[in-house]
Amino acid sequence: MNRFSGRILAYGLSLFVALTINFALPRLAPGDPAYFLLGRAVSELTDAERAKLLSEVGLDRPILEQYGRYLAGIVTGDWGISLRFGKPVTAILAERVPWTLLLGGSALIVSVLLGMTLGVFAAWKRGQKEDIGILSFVMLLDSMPAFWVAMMLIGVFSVTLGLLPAFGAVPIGAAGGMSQVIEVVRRLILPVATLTVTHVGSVFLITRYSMVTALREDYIVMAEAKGVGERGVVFRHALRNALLPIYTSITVMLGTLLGGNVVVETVFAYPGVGRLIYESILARDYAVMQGAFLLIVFLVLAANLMADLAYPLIDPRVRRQGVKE
Amino acid sequence: MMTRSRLGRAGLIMLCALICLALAAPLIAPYDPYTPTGRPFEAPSFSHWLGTNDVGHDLASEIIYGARASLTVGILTALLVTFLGTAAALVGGYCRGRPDFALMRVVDCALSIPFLPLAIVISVFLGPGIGMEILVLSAILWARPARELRAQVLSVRERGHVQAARAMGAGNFWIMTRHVFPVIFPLVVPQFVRAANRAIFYESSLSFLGLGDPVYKSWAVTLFYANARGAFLTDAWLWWILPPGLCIAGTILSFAFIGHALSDGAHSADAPHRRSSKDRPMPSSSEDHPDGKCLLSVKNLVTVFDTARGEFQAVDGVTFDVNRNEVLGIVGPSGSGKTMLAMSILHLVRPPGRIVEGRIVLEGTDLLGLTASELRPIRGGRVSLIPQNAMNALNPVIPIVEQVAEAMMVHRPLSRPESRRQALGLLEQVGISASQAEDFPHELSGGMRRRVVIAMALANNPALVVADEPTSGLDSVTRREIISLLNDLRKRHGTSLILISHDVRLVRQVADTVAVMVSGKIVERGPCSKLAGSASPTPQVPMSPTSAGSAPSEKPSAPVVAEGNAALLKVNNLTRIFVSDRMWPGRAERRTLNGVSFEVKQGESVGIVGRSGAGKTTIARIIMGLIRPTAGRIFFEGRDVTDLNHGARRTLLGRMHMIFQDPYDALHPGMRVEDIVGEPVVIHGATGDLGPQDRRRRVTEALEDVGLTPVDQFRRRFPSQLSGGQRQRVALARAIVLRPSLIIADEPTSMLDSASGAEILALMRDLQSRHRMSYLLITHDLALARAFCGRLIVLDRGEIVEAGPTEQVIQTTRHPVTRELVRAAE
Repeated sequence: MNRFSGRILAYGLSLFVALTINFALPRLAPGDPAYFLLGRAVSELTDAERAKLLSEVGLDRPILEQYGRYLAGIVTGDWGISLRFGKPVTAILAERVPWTLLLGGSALIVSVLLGMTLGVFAAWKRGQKEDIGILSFVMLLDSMPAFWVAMMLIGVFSVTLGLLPAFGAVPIGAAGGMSQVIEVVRRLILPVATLTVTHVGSVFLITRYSMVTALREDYIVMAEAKGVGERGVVFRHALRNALLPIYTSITVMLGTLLGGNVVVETVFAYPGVGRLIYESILARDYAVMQGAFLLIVFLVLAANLMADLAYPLIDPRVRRQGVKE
Repeated sequence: MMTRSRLGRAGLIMLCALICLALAAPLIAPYDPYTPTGRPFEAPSFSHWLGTNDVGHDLASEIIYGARASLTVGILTALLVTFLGTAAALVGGYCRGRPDFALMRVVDCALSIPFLPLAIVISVFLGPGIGMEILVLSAILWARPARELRAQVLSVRERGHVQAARAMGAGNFWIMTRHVFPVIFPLVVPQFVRAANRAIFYESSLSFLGLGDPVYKSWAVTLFYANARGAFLTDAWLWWILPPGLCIAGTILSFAFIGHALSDGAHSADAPHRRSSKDRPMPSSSEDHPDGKCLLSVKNLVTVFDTARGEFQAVDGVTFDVNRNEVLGIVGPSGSGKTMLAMSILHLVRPPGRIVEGRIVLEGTDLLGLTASELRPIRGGRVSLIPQNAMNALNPVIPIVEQVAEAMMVHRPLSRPESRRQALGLLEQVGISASQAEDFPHELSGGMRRRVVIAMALANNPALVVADEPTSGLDSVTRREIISLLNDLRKRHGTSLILISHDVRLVRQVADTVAVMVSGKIVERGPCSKLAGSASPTPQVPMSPTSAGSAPSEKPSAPVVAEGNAALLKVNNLTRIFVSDRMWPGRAERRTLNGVSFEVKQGESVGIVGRSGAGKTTIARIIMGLIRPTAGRIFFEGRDVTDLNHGARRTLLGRMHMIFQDPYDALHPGMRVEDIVGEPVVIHGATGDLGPQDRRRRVTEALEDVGLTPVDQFRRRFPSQLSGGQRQRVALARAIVLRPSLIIADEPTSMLDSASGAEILALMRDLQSRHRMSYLLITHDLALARAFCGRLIVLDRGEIVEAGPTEQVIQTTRHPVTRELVRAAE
């Protein structure tokens, strides 16, 4: 219970901080806040027009009142109006979220499976040729920036080989049905590959490190001393323990994965929330940019909270704490 | 190990090359990257190595200048991040309490908000510019080093040498700069490297989204233009996109390599631990003739360690036999190769150790001649191990009954329910009830966990059990229970036993034959009764000089206290209530001390004895001012010292001092002997009257006093260059350098082998006769207290249950705890 409420409090606090940053930035940034909030060159207006505009959006009220209204707006779903589309920000975001979740979720699954498999294998062969080879290769992958990987993949698979489409999530004028699903998957391959290349490294490194650490523990010696075979030692004893830090690091990775979408979605023109951030920067559509930022924060915090609450399921030491002396 | 340094060197070379490129950019670059020098989209040629971009800028020059921007951001950000993170970690980890709590909530927030979107939003509002980028990235990246370093600070501040410094009255600033920072510094460097890596990574992402500095073009800015201006529409993408990306990847990779080489975890992680598949079994000879009686025959066994300075022979030509039903005790000081011998017998030696020659013949089979799969049925089946640190030998995430059942299932064709049933029976035999069988190891006490390990070792009725220090770390009562359990079971199952220990007394209780091991060799061997006089309760320095009894050899000649002596230390009604979680008041409250009162007179030695967890160490820590009592007062030399602050406590420094249990931990690893011993003088001198000359003289005297002579040989050494006994001597020298009137010694010998322990006790007694100080000795070992102390206080669950002159307490025991302790000491 203690742990439960503590985690919710911590995430609540983070959310609050993110909201406050979002509120404060346009008001504190150098320049006229009206410009950021209205998106127009306010200086061209007459004083009367300007004052009218300001009072319309409430910028002439005391700062605390503005803050209160802003928070209330977030809760009631009033996230502002997009300048570019003239639609509520929430409506625009709702269109984009499914694509981001599809892309991020697929990339998470692929990179975790691949990273753990390689990590366990490398730890098993630690210090040997296989391990060093995989380790260096993965560190190389890990050092490549996502947008560059994306551009190279486009350059090779779309431009040069013409195998896979490089833009969008659905073909224009889609037919629907099975062929549409295939098209969606085809358009998912390159972005997922990019995210996998850039995220497989952290899963691999933490898996390998946790496995190597676990394999040094006294209970491994004991397992060997009681005659457990190599497979049993690696999977039943070492991996079962190494899962705990791996799980934690994967939850941390959610943040970089969803955040990293900004870059990858931009390069592939993928219609997710990340791409929306980029588009609204270009269009100076600040309400949408801030809304997209908040949404990503929401998603990351919610995912982390769920992962945190599920942690006792895999760690008996947390599950059954201090029952006996 | 090899890979680690090689990768690190590769990283350094790459990084140096890039830095040179950045510094020498004006010399190397063929053109000014900011003016058009060719036609748009020119292909690579002699005049433009990498072609030109859409407005005719030379791409090679752009990349060479780009190194400046990228590296500047990376390195400056990393410096700022490391500084902020370290400062936050030191403040939070050291102050604890509210500042730490607040700081950690900030860190939580900074870590849970996704980095890149946050950086994007901030940079959009703050506008482009390289200085702004550095600030934004630092504001986002400092949190992780802060959290990781704080965890280190928290663990360092619990270390013995920090506690020792606090007990000396050192101030916060002194401790932070002298004791905490030097220890965590090696961990700060990898944090810097990682911060640089991340900074370049995020800078490139920001720049790529068009948020970089458009004037000061970094590699990622080049890529941004490539993407924005349709490089893909032409063939230019290959030379426009590939080279800057490679540069970014190369820079990040070089930092990653260096970081990997520096990281603490990788330090040992890369050493190959598993026996490689190439490891061929040794040729086995057929001349072994097992007779019916001989179970195990070890012949000329040599096990070495590969170290940086060549081979170290841990086991050096050991030969012995074990008969059926025999108990062989192997005793020797720490570092004599006993554990390596135990591991060798099961052929479980891991690199960097390896067996180079010899034979281990068990029931007619040479174990060294078997392959891994042939060994498996023997390990745990015919010979099993009770490893050293049996506390940690259980898998923390598997219920104990399953771990015992597993030991059976790998050797016998049992169904899961059947093996569970048998495991339950076995646990019952070692005294663990069925209701505890589903428990996880963390729910059991140390003694209970050992019982589980014993159950596992006996699961398949092995012919031989190798028990390596099966009782270390247990209090004397539990130790006794474990030994008698082991002995009973062994008799019942008809198992032979090799009992390895540094504790002669323990071995003598159980073993038929004793072998003495010194520096990898067996120097003496014979029936137990012959080696040690069986009558006297304390062995008379039996076989070899290095393996004396754990209690001092002479009969107790503890100083008798003159009744008229004044009370030096007076403790009145000391109570401490431990609240487990301060955030939620009213939770688990535990009285660790309850109304404890006693006195120590001038020149006397008082012992506080009790089982572990009785509250003995808490008393010592309260007296030294390391923790505060909930109630009660302490008077020292007639003055109330209960609530003294740091400054006032410093004046007590010359009057009382403490010796800690663990000599490995109580000395700062990075300080030289003379500085360690001189530290109290310096701290004291800050308030007082002692100059450097005086300090040197006092240090010399103190080192002479504790027998570290010739002094000049020890003066400049680091603790790592000393043996355990020598370290405890240094701790003793530090304690007496200001000639205190009271020394509190908390288990001063328990981490030492018996010979060194006996020497330390003799030395302490010798110092007392010369300098007339009092001792407050804290121990679980009644034999030790009996030999050393004139008066005893028996503590149980935070209360004094018995007190009085030593012999009186022992002869007329009234309390069951005292009786247990007396029995355990026999």
